[in-house]
Amino acid sequence: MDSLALAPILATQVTEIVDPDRELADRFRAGERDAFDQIVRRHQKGVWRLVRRYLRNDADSSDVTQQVFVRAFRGLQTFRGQSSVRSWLYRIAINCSLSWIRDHRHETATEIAEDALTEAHPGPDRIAGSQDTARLRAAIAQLPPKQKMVLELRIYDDLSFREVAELADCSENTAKVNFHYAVKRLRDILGGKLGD
Amino acid sequence: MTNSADDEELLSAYLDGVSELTPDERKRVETRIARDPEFKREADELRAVLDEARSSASVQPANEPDWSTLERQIRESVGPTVPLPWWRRMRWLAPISTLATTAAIALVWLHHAPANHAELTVARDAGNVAIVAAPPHVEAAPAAKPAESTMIYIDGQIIDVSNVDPEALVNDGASDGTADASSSGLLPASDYGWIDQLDDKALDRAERWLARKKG
Repeated sequence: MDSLALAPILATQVTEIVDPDRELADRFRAGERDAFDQIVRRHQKGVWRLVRRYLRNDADSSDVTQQVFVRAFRGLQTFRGQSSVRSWLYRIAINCSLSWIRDHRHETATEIAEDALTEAHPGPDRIAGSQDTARLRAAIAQLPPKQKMVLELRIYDDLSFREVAELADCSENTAKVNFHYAVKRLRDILGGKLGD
Repeated sequence: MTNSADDEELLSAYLDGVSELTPDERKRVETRIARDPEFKREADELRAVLDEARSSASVQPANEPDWSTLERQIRESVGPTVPLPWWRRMRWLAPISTLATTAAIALVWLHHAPANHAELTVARDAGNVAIVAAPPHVEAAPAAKPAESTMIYIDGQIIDVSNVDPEALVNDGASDGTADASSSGLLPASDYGWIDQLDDKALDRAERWLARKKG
């Protein structure tokens, strides 16, 4: 097999040179209300799924998602475009989720933030016969926090490494390295069980 | 973690998003995969893990919300009006602050500027004599002065120079700094600059007085 055969067939993310949402943000700042609706339409699923991973509760995830966009609506005027609109939204989503978890810590399991991913995307009961997926999610839950965060943002939120770096508060290279060690660790944890 | 990753550390990024590596990084990883069987085997294993992770991510929860409902709820929550940044919300403040500033400047100017009818006066401070504008409270002085008269303002008193005996201008005894202004009515003038401030009529009178004095 030559090197081309190893080219990533799963590469779904192209480095974003131009943020596709920038124009919408500019139009919103110019007073065009509908531009925000388009931003909501484009990102509500991603925001909800990200929030859902933290909260592990569908109804609460919808409430927090709503809260995320309300904050975004109020803050978009001051958004300076130093990051993509998506990663800016996801940053708000993470903050809102953590805030929600803090406020409801007595009502929810204490380990909610640690293994939030294990119940999301999707629950084990929702993937018939997917033993590998269940094992994979359990393995992800064992990753160190930084590696786990990078892996989740990359795999589940489909973010570019640049956006992952913005959200994980590290350099792009560090995000790539963390991602690599996360994948390696998953491989070690799973011990070749995938596809057996 | 370092910022400069080696070839191995970039392997997963290469497998998951080759376009996000620089051309140089990509070439290095590909070269190593081509030359190093162990590295190639590792690449295959990691790719299998990534395959599984990606397929797991592609399966969405069955009970996701109704997106159009959520969108409508968000729209209702944020309201119909685009919020303005604080500096645009405060635009109404601009004309008001301009007016206030203008008014303040006008007040200061009215307070300090000499009135049209104010006379030049002479003030003494520690033996120095200077021509100054009459302070505002001079306007409240009870007696209106003739238009031709020249007044000086000394230590809070108004003195009409035109009514003072010219002799006093010479024999005021103030040159040594000991004279009492209130007793002599006039001041010594170690600084004659104030003469430059006198108007033509006052100068004419002074010249006539000097001529008489010499004569």
